[in-house]
Amino acid sequence: MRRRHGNHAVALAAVIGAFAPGAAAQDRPSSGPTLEVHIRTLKHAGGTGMSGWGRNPLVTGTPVAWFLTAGSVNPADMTVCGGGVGETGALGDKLSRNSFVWDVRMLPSKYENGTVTVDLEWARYRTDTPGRPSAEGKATLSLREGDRQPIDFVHGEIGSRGCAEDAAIVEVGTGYAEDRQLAQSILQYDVWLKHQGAGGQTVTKRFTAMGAQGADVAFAFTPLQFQVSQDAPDNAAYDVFTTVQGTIKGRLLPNGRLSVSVDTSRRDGLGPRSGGAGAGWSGNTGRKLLDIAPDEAIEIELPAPRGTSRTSALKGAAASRGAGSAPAPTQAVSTVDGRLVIDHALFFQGQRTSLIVQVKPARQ
Amino acid sequence: MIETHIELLSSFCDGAVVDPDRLAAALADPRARDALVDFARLRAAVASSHPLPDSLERLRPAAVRRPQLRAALAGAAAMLVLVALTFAMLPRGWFIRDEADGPPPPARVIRYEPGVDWGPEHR
Repeated sequence: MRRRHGNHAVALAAVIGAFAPGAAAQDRPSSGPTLEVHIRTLKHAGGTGMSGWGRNPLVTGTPVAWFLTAGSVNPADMTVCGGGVGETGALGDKLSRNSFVWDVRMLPSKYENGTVTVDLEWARYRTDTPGRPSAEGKATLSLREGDRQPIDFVHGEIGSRGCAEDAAIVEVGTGYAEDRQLAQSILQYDVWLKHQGAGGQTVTKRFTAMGAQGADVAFAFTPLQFQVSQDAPDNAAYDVFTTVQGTIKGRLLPNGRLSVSVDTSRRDGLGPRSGGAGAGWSGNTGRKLLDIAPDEAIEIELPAPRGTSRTSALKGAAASRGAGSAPAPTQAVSTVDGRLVIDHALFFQGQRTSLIVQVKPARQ
Repeated sequence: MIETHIELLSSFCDGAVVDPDRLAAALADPRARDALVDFARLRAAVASSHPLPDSLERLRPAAVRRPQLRAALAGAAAMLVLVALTFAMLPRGWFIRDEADGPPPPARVIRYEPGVDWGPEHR
């Protein structure tokens, strides 16, 4: 846990040992998923003033709690200048030294496929109205690693000392504490997009990049283009485009294997033949968590899309997407009421699109 | 004693300085004299050689060793080894692009499962 005020990071002694091998932290894992809280203030003139955060290991069934504070410069002024994050202390004591105090409690109930389900309870207290929360909330959240969820926003006064910050934002989220021995690792990612047509012909595109341990690496491929046969001579020339992109993130584990998450989105839709992927598409997304050996190649098949893409069959018209209320087409490509209609399931029948993923530590 | 006479004569044939009295005594020994004759035959056999035939008279003389040429050849060989090692260390994809761009055979094939870890994208 630590707080920052301006450009100066100030470690809070009470909580700095969250991931340090001290006596109080001996039973805590040195690395792994975490639950986090964040507070930051916004300056009148723009930009961020103070920012602070708290972080605890994510252990299913184990509650965590923090106090977040703002307005420590002169509590009676009800500004948001000054503050931080702490795990210890009493609410009354905090309120006597800060204008605003947030009591945030989280209980993770499930952690699966990189997503935590957490029960959240929070309350905001003001020093000018002690004894009862000025705002509070309760929710069950599903958060992926790195997600942040804003839970409160409060305005502060300028105060007698001319506080340059006029608002504070409180967020909860998840993160990951990296293994100290492996935190500096650099990983090399090779990702291939492979499409096999119904006739067996294969198109392959390759993406290669390097990234730091636990860092998101965005990947993208130029769209796959599939020619659409035209039903009428005056039809505009449209093709079906498949765009695949996503984010890959890996961690080298102490046992030498790699933990890799692959977030992928696939969009399919009509677009002008000469203009690339257009506005009409059907999009799907997903995440896979992999435990693999270095250089082990894993193929992940991307399901063919459902629904339809349709557009006007006349030149110059924009494409649109969705199932709509029109009757389901019986052909992969058809023209219905002057509109070109693609049935995705029929269009991609017998075809196969997949990603092949290979990760390894980069050579020093 | 016979062995001594023979050894003395052998040394004499090899050009050593020997005691004349002992040489005389050795020559008086019939078996030593036979050995001396054998020494003479052996030397004649070794020393004799027939002259080269005419066809070999114009044999090219042995190449004269030139240290500069030898050093140059060694340098060229070292350069070849260096170049080969350099190419061996370069990324394979620089030379075999098609193979490098193709995906490796997957160890596992999995699938995003609709409704489980694959769903509509919200925009």
